[in-house]
Amino acid sequence: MTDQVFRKTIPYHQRKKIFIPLGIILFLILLRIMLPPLIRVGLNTYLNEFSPSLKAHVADVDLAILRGTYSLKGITAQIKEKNKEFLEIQYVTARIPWSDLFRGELVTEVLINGMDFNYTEGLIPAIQKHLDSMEKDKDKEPSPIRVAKVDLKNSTVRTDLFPSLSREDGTVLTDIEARATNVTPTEKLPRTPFSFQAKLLKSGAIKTEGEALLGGEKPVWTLDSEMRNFDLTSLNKFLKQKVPLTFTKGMLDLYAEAKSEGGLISGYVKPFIKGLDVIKSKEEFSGARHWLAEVISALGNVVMKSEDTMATRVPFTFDKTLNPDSGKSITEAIGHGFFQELDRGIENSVGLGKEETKQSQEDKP
Amino acid sequence: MKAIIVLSLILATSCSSKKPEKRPIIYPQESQEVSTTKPKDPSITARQVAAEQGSHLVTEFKFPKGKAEISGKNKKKIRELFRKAKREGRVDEVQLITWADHEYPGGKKHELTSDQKRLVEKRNEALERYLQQLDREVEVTKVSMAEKAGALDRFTASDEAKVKNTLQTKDAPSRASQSMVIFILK
Repeated sequence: MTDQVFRKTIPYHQRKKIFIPLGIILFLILLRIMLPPLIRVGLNTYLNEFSPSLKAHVADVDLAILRGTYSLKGITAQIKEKNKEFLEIQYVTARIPWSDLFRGELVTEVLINGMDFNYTEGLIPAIQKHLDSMEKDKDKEPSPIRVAKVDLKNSTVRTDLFPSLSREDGTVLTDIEARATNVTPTEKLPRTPFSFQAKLLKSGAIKTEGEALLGGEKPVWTLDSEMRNFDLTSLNKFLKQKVPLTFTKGMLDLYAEAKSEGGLISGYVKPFIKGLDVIKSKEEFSGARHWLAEVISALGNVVMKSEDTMATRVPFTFDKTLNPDSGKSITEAIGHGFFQELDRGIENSVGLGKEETKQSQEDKP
Repeated sequence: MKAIIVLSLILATSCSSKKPEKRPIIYPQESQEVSTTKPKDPSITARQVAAEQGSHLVTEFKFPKGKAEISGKNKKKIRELFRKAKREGRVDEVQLITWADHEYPGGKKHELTSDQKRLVEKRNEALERYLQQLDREVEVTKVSMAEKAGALDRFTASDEAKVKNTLQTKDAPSRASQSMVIFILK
């Protein structure tokens, strides 16, 4: 009845004017409803097969087309062979602003929120296998999307390598806030500046900043780092698992610069340790595996009753093995111990394309 | 064993220092910058903002409190960067990001006074005038860090909103009275 009235009162050409836009709107609404589950299914199929050693899963896909933001929620990743989860992410949001699209630029910024990374047994070989499988894709065309910024927020890193530790005790880094910009470098703009902040064992505040050249065959990077107010006793839960000593007190501040260039990592570390007190258990140290423990223990014996801050500067190189420059360290330690004070903070003496130079007095602000 | 003795000697020797510490620039823990005896110029924050805009040509400096005049030293910094930019290509845009004598207004209700907003306008205008002395055709985009990004800017993710979003994180270091000049090449 209503249909008959409708047909009689509204002529065909007018009905067409209403039905076509209505049909388009309805189609867009349906597409909007159907698209996220379709994308999710397609994406999960891909993530299950993208690597010979790793797989991932996405729980939900959310599209906010008007805002230009696209989110993946409840992401997990596993080692295929062991079916073991090593990564959980609350959500990843990519924003592709319409303003950039209208300028003809495909630019995105990515936010990764609530990442929980678990360093677990078998992870490194699995990642290596994945990277090896990617070697054949090396000459692929570069992505047309410019990733202007990647932010990592509210994230943690933990390990379950020590089965006796609870999930909370195995948490190594918390409150991670990191940022990398220009993540898809070009010939004209090759550098990727990055910064990283976190709490180590819920105690020491770590800050790192640096730049990387991601385009080359070998990794090239430079970084400056500091860790302040690290309570050495928070290391005890790990030390107990590996070496026969623990700290009863001691605070560590640490400043470091390093770079990786031409396949060699080099730099220096400046530790400042206050009020160190070490307890060595009756167990014997087992040679090279415990050499550092023996040094710390010996050091603890020397300064056990001292509240002074001790500090030194240790230049090092790393080429598959760590090589602290003992000769330089002795000279500098004696120098700082008797003749001059050792400055806190990094010296800005290590950078890409420059030889490490000890900061001269004239350089200081 | 030799290594142990050597390392013990190093550390034990440094223990004998009664006063091994000086006071270089120790940034607050919430700042991104790593404490240093020789600050990097430009800072990591400036390099990141520039890289996000697709540039590595950035300089930063401070205005004297309450003033909008560019010092000779800072003019030289801009001039040298401009010459470097010209050597590398054609300058498409210069972005000026300037703060008032207070931090970027955080929180929902926090607003800076109109005097502070005006001060930023004057600073950006002074920079624009100087840049036009260097190149009359240069296109300048001015970003005032005395005002929050508008709702439309945030919705469309305009360049201004993106810059403010990058710079207003909770870990942003103190930037009061500062200015960043970014040259973006074509």
